[in-house]
Amino acid sequence: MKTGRIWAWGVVLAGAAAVSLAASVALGPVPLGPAMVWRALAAGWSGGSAGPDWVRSVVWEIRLPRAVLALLVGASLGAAGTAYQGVLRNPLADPFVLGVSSGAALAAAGGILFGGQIGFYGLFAVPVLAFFGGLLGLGAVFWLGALGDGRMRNDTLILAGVVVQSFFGAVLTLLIYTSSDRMPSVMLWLLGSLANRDPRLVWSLSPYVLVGLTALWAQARNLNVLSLGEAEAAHLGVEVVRTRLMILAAASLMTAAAVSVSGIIGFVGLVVPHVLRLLTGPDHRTLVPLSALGGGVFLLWADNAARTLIPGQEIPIGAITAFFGAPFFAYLLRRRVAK
Amino acid sequence: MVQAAVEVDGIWKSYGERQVLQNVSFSVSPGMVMGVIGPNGSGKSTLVRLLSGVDRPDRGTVLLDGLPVNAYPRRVLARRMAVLPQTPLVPFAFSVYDTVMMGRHPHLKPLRGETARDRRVVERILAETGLTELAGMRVDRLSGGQRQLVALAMVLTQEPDVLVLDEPTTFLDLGHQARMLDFLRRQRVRPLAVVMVLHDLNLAALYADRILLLNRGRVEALGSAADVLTEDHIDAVYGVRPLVVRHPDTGVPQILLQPGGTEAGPATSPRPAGHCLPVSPR
Repeated sequence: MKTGRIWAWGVVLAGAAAVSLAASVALGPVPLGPAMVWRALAAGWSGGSAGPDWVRSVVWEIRLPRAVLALLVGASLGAAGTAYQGVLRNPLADPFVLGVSSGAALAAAGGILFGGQIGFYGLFAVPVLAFFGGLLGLGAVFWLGALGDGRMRNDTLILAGVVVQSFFGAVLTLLIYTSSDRMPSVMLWLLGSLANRDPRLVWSLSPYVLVGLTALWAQARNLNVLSLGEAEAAHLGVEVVRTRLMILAAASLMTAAAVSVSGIIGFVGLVVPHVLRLLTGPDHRTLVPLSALGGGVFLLWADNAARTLIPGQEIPIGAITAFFGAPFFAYLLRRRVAK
Repeated sequence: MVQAAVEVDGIWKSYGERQVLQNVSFSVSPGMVMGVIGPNGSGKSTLVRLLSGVDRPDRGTVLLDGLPVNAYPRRVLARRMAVLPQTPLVPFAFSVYDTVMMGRHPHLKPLRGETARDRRVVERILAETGLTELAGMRVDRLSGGQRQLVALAMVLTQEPDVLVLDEPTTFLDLGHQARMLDFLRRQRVRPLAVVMVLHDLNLAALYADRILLLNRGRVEALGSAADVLTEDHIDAVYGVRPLVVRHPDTGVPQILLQPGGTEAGPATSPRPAGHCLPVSPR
């Protein structure tokens, strides 16, 4: 019916992603002009004729990998947030609130500390470890949130999320402080950062994002039907338990892969799906890919702000997303109470 | 003889210590409307859960075309049987059209979009239910009655052989109740087997071919409205002695409450002469 409008949104967001990517490459301590960015990008990884050597190196070894990482991490968190909100029918759900991020961060940090990140193979192993950590966090929140009657309630789920996050955060802090100086910093893991990341992480992150996104998109129609309610979905032919597990697993895999690269970045998975649902409607067949694009663009600009607002210093990116996200969360909470 | 679409054979169900259903049996053939009535807690909702395969009976079987409903994969079952839930739909902000299209879910192939045939079915049902005008409206902006109609349109779009309705009129006013049930009755041109749980005994008498009266999980009576809706049955199940009169047009029994009917005393109060006399069907 409104396919035209949906496509228009897709084109707009994809265009925004491309422009944001170029802008991120241009922005920095040494700003690059559009022509210079274009020439360096067009010349490719090894292009010699594109101008001075340092430009190629800044573009291809520092800024572009970081921008692509931001895009991938944001896409994971945005799509995962859409999936959590849809499958739990809870508008306050997102990877951060549900404890998936903290569980994944703890497992990833532990994995790196105890020698998991050895060579190229380690780049892929840490996200897997983070996945199990994320599932542990999610399991803990569900278990706590379902106390009493077997059903999960919106408010208890949020409270359980706070408990699990605080506990995992404490363990993470202790773990990092008692270790030698092998970890970048506690702040990286607790508030997230994309500073000084290994450019190869782009390659280790991509497959997880692709697999997760494909799985979620394949479940999009089931997500729509599940939004009618559990029994209704079953009557419409959905194997509810199996489908739910699959969606939660796919979303947690994407979250975990993102967290193992960037640490805990909150609120992307909360704000982006909400805004896009308001703009483009509730159909998950479009909402899942659009939230991935929107999440990518949002995080890209959050990261640009993180690295350029204070010259010569990095603000944790999680502080930027929380600055916008926390008031939004408060607004949603107030609106629910008012109902 | 027409083969039964749904055959319920001696089902028992308990939740913990509580025995909710005891030895309930009945069958519904294509083209027939079975009304299920009974007081609160008599096991009506549990019966719906067992019929729709969401839950399993402890003993006994629920057969759909000779096979236990639990043996069907949910997708296959959803093409044969549709269930209209008791609570009104509260989806995200889906449009009426998109919500009704969800009824095609069990027919759609995974990863494929809806076909021209799916759209034709949806448009036909929208027209039949009078929802064409509202197709672009958001369901969460509709009234309770309209929402229930959207839910009905959605389950009809499943093109089922068996339709289970769990108190479809609870949230409807008188006009919407009548429109909905009249619409369902017109659906009988299709060989659709309907199991309809109703709170309202008079509606059950008017719209069901056969009535099953449940009392604390047991079958109190099963048969035509005239057989089931007697003063003795009502008194035994609901603990109130009503006045049973005949509907002036259709001749089916209708239940009237009498003030003071729950008080102790002579069960049969004297009837004022010339008031509510049985009227023979026209």
